[in-house]
Amino acid sequence: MIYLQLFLAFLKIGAVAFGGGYAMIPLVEETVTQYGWLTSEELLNYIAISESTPGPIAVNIATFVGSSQGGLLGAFLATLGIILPAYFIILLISIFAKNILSKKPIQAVIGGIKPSVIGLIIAASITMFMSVVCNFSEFGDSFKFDFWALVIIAIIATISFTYYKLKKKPISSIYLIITAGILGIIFYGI
Amino acid sequence: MKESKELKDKKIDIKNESQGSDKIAESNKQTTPSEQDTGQTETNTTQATTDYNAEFYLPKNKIKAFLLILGLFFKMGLFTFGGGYAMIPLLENEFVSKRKWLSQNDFMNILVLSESTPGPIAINFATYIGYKVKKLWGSIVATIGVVLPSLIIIFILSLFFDNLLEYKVVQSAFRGIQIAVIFLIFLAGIKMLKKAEKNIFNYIVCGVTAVSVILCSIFAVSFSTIFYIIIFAIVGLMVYLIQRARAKNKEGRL
Repeated sequence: MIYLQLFLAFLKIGAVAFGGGYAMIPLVEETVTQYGWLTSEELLNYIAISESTPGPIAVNIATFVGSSQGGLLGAFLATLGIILPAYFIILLISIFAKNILSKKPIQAVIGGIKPSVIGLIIAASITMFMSVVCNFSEFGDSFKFDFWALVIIAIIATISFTYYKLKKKPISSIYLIITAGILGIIFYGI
Repeated sequence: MKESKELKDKKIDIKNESQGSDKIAESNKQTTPSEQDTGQTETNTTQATTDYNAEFYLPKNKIKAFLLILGLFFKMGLFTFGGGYAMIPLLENEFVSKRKWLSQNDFMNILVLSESTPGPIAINFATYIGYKVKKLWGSIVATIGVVLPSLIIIFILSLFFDNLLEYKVVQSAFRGIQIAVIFLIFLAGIKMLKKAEKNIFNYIVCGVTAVSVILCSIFAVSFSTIFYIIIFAIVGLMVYLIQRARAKNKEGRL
C-alpha cells in the first residue's frame, strides 16, 4: 500500500541521510525510480521547487514526493518518515547522553558515513547529468549531447563562480534557478 | 544556592503569570539591548552564557507557552529559504540573542551535533530547543511548528504544479531548471568535500563510493545506496578498532 511504502521509504532515508538536505537526494532518487513513482526529471523539478520555497529542503522534498503519490496523507506520512529518526535521536541525546557523540567509536562510525555520503551526492549529480543532459543511462546507449543544456551549465557555473569570487559568499540558489528557468524558456521554448 | 534559585523561579513564575500575554507582546516588540536590560533588572538570572540551567522567559500559562513555541518555530520554517543552513542565523538570533532560551555554547553544540546525526538540521534544533524549554511536549510542538509551513505550502503547490507543466513555457523553463539543479547538487557535494578533513581515508571512501555508484548505474547493476552507508559505517569502525589495537600493542611492547 502506497502510504506504508511512502512512510517506510522516507523513514529509511531519514535514518541514514547524514549531512543535511542534499544527502537525501541520492537516496530519494533511488527510491522514486525503484518504485517507479517519478522520473529523474520530475524529481529534479520537485527539488528545484523545494529549494525555492520556504522550509528545510528535506521536508519540502518529502512533502512533494509524498503528495504526488498519496495526496495529503501521503505528504504527511512522507514528512513524518523523514523527521522521525532525527527527532528520536536528538530527543534521546537531549534526555540521556548529551556526550554520546564525543565517544570515539561513534565518531569512527560517523567518520565512515560522511565521506561515503559525499561520494553518493557527487555520483548522483554525475549520473543525473548523464541521463538528463547526455541521454545516457546504460552501457550501450549513445551519448546524445544536449547542446543547450551544456550552454546553460556553462552560464550558470560562470555566474556562480564569478559571484563567489567577487562577493566572497555563495550566490543564493534561487537566483541560479530563476536564471536557468529563463534560459530554458529562451533555448527550449522559442 | 539552590534554594535561592527556587525562590527566584517562583518570583519569575508569579511575574510571568500576572503579566502573561503582556510579556509575549513585549518580548516580540523588543530589540535585543532593551530585552537584556529588562532581564537584568527583573530576574537577574537571564544569562546567555550559562549553559543548561539558564533561566528563560516563557509564559507561565501552558497553552500560551506551547503556542509561543509553535509560533516561533513556524516562523523559523517560514523564513528559511534555500536549505536548512539558512535557518541557522534565524535560530541564533531568536533563541540565543533575543529569547535566551539557550546559550551560545549550547547552540554551537547542537550545530556540531547536527553534522553527526541524520535528518534535517531544522528538526535537530527544533527538537532540542523544544525539549529544553518544555520537555517532551515542547520538542513535539516545536518540531510540528517548523515542519508546518513546508507541509502546507508544498502540498498546495503540488496540487496544481502538474497542471502548470502542461504549458510549453513552463516545461521549457523547468528543462533549464533541472540542469541548474544538477549543477547545484554537484556543487553541494564539492563544497562538502572541501569542508571535510583531507585524509586518505576520506578520499578513498568518497572515491570508491562515487566510482562504484556511477559504474553500477552504467552497467545497470542494482546496489542500494543505503548499503554504501552501512558498509562504510562498519569500515569506519573497523579502522578505528584496528588503529586502537595497534596503539595498545605499541604501548604493551614499550
